[in-house]
Amino acid sequence: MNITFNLNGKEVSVDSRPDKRLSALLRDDLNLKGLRKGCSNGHCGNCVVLMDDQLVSSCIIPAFAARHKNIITIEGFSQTKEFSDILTGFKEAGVHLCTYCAPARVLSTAYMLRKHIVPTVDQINDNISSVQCRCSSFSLLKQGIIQASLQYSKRKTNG
Amino acid sequence: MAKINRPPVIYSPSSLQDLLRIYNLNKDAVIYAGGTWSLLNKESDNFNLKGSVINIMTVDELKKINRTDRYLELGATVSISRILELGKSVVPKALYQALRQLGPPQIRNMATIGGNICVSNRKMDLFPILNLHDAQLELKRQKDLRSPRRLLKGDSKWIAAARFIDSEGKVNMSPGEILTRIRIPNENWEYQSYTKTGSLSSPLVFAGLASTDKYVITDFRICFSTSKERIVRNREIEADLIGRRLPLTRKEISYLNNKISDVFQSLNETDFTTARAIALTNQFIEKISDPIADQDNF
Repeated sequence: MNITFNLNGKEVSVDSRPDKRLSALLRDDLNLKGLRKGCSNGHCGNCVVLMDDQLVSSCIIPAFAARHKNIITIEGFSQTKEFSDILTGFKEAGVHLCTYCAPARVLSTAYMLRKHIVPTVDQINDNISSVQCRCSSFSLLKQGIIQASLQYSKRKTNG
Repeated sequence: MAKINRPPVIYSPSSLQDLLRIYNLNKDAVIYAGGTWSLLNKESDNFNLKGSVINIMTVDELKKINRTDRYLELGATVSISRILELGKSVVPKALYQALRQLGPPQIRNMATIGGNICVSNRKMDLFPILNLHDAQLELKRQKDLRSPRRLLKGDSKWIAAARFIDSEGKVNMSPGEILTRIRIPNENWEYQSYTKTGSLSSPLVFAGLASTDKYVITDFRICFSTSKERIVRNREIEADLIGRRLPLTRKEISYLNNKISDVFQSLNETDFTTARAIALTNQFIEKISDPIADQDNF
């Protein structure tokens, strides 16, 4: 089955089984290694991508469901200014993420900041729970996200 | 001879009419909406789906949200996160709490309310609340041209959420039928509570609604769903509590606990489940007895 979708701003067409995992399609067929394979049940959050501006677990999405969608992976997101805001925020708070969860953590933070420029404690907690990795402490991650939101809102208000 | 692993046939209907027609022709087809439950526990890079799959996420009619003075109406493929975005002032508080507990944000973005209701195992999350709110579910099927009812507009029916699953926990839908809308009446409940305890393999869900007037219970509803996929609601217990003055006396609480224990034991539930059910009910009674301690009434 020919599956066409917009990947990181470019139209992509892949010939694949319709029931192939989107994570496998992106990682193996399209060589996007920033996407990690985790639990394959959608809960660990290491395979998240932005699909039509929604954070989704790519491991439980079959390829046919990605047709005509806009998909952004960490490779595409790293070209944006939001990416550097989040990295600066994390750096200022002293957050050092492992290479396994960093892409997913950045994408999930970006998703939250796009929805809530100034997130509440509940929203931050919710965001931290979306990626399951114990490389950083909970309180440090919280600080990192707060710093990232400050960077993000500063850039937004300065235009 | 090697087994041929054929890829599934995917249907992506663009309208509800199309969907009903396709489903009527392929009654064994797998319905795909959020895919958060049906595609779990598959190990390989392919889901190895067989036969036909109908992707209902392409049907716009099923994504609509409608709000009137009397009810909130949700399309079956409205995602959990979209419902949460409506806010606590629109979505009943207990339902809001239940939806928030359904998983991390990436799952809530994908999971649909219709999926949670129809998929076995998961339906127990929201059922106690939908049951207490007297929610109505719309089921639609392709109009049978040979039926005497063919002149009626569409083949749709509204059923109460309480009637959607039978006593054994099976979904009450005929082949070719599809859940299209969920209607939740707007009601003002002073106290609403939702708690899910236990692991995924043995959950116990408690939902409670209550209203009081000058420390007298004017309306009271409680419902449980158990790991045996049973909905437990006893209207006798509810009727017993209406009209009683708060806080309840020790004798009244002991009577209530015995009643709950009898109901659970008659259903062959374990002692542990019975004890949890009693504890959750007592917690809710405490909440409504002391509203100042619980500012959010939740």
